[in-house]
Amino acid sequence: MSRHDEIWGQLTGYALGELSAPVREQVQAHLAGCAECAIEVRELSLALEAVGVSSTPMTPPVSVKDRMLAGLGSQPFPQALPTTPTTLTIASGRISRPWLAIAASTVLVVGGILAVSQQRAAGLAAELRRVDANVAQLATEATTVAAQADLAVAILTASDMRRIDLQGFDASRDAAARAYWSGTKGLLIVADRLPPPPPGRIYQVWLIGTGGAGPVSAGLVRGRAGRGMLIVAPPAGVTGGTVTVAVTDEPDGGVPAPTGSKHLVGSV
Amino acid sequence: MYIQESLQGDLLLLDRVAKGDQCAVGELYDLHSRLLFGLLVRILAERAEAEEVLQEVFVQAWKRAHTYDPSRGTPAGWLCGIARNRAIDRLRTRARGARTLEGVTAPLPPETPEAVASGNERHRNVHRALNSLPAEQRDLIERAYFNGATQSEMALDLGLPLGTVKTRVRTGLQTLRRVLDRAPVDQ
Repeated sequence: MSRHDEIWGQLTGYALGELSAPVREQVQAHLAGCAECAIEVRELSLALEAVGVSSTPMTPPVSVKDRMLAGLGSQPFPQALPTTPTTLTIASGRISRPWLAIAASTVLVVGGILAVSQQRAAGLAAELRRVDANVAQLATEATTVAAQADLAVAILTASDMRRIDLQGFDASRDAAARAYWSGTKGLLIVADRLPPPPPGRIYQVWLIGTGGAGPVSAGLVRGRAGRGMLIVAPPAGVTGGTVTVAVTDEPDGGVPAPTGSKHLVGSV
Repeated sequence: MYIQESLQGDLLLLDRVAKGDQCAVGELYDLHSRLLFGLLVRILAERAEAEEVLQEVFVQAWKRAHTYDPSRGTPAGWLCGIARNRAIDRLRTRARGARTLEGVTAPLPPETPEAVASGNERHRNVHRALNSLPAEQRDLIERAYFNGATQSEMALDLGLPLGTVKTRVRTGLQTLRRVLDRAPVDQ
């Protein structure tokens, strides 16, 4: 067993405060240079913090606060300023601890990245990499949303756009749904009051032309709280003057041809 | 996310405390005394002793605010840690007897009207998250946290292999973090 593995196995005991002083010091020495263990300890500590929070709050007698404050008066204030770093130097400027905390907690949703010491630099760097990855993912999602918005505008303003009112069936009989179909730009479908699909299933949209081909999958409906939307370029194979749009529930991930119950149908 | 509720205000308060502002200690007390008192009563099962320790917690916070390290947890968590450590110390000075491993095999106490009325979403989220853990994991975590039982002691008392105890506690804590990360953000 490596030293790392050995310490890894002690981290719960460390977070619980049950280790003997020599073992605790060994763990602390290892944490100073191991980002993985430092992050794990932080996660365990936050979980234990939550256990404490699970206790039912109780109001102490007012006298406790009075006694506590009176007791403070007799206590010498130990140290006005900390000896450990409380400011983080960024480029040429310095940011005070509380304001940096507000910024960090708001943007990173991390419980404070304030007292940046050399010992914790590795752990913070790993955490920042994780945040960077999240930001990159959000940027990708934003690009996708922007592209979908452009496509929606193109569909709605297309000269061949036709509106199709969809009728709900069975569990979806109260749903309100409408499709906008352009053979040159694509399909936009929106639905409201759509019940959640059965467990393990998802709503899939089908287009059926009069060109002889069977139903062509247009994609899966994404949404929440009873609302769903799909915006796609025109699928290949949909030809003919009359087009039918149908929505069925299918196994999660979708299927090549409809097999499930129909929920919405409309033609134009 | 469940810890975000008053983080910003807490950090500002602790900064004031670290600079010697006694009023800030009073404000910190107003914000967290109910949580800490509930925690202390649960650990100590004795209101008078819990009151004493509650005072000690804030005196210690006053003395040690400058040592608070935000990279290791929130101010509320730091205060909970002080409270728990002091309470467990008291438990350990009592004769290790019946109390050590009693009283924790029962399910979590139901939320009282007082707690419900407090509108504390964080408390409710945590309560739900703990209750979602398998009983054998939750039970060990509660024994360790509230009774100060070490993992070795629990293994001995329950006749379980130490590895099993460690795995259950670790897995339970990791699950708790994941569940709470998905919980709604407090407002």
